[in-house]
Amino acid sequence: MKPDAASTDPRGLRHARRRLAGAWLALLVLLALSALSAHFHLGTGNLIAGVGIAIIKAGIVAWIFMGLREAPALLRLVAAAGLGILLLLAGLSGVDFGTRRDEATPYQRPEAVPPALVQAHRAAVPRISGLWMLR
Amino acid sequence: MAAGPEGLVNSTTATATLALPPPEPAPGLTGKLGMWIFLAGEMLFFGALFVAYAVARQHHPEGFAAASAKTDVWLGTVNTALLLTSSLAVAMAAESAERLRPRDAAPWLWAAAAIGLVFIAIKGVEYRQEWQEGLFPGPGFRIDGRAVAGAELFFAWYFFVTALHALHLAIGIALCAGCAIASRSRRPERAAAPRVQVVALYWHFVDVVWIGLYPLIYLVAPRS
Repeated sequence: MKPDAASTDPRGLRHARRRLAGAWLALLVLLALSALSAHFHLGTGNLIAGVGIAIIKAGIVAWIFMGLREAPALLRLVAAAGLGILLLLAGLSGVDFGTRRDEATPYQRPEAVPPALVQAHRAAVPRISGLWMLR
Repeated sequence: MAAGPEGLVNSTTATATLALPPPEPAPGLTGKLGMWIFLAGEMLFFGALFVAYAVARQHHPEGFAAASAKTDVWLGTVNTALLLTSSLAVAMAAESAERLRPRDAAPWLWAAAAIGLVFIAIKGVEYRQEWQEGLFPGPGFRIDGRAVAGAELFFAWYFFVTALHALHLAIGIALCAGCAIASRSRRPERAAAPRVQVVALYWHFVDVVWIGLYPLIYLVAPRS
């Protein structure tokens, strides 16, 4: 809670509300830009625009609405630690999954498997069928 | 080292300083700290779902683009605008409560809860459309009559994560309504401020999750 002098100051409240309304307007403008970007064929630019604008919007909400702007260092540290651990785990997962081959799996219907995977699967099948013929 | 009366005075002062109680934390800090720690855990919870999405999309870019094109971008955009507006209302409520004016906070909290309900209703309309188009994962799943690799995975993720988000929002609506009702008690000022601030932090986090979901659900492929 703010000191009593500040709490009774109507100008302080008005100023704070104006700041919040400004942040809200900025968020709506960014949302409009994000929706508009989907109507242009930008290739990877579409992904960058969508996710980039989302990161800016999340930053505005955290910094102004969630009060990190004027929060004590302890709260900022907890927020940063949560984000840091998330990025670390996401990065480690990326290393794991990014270096794996895409394999056809039993739950995918054959017609849903891309041709390249079907070929890879067929290349592996003769070895198994050869064993079956030996029995 | 100085001895005599001067040294004695210094020693007494030191003892008196040690006997002082530890400084109290700033009012409301404990609640906020607890909520931020909880939100850090929630960040990891939702973060795992975002990572799962990234992996699946990297493996099935065409399927994700085809599936995303079937979602209703306008309803998604309206819902995002609503949630951003509800965050403004909750921030206004927290500001009023922080300045020891919890009765001013109540209308803002009711407004946020009402907007949250509208969000869930619109999400229900979207679910209905998707159900009728056969986009719910299962044996009959097709995109425009064909099976597209990864599209079913997209919708499985979509339904799970949006339902989870709606559950969080429903909890937020209940918390906002509870705070608004509590603010009518006779002497709520000191108690109401930390309570509203903690609820506001939770609400904003639910908003941030949706901000992250919006481009991943609706903006995967160009719309024109």
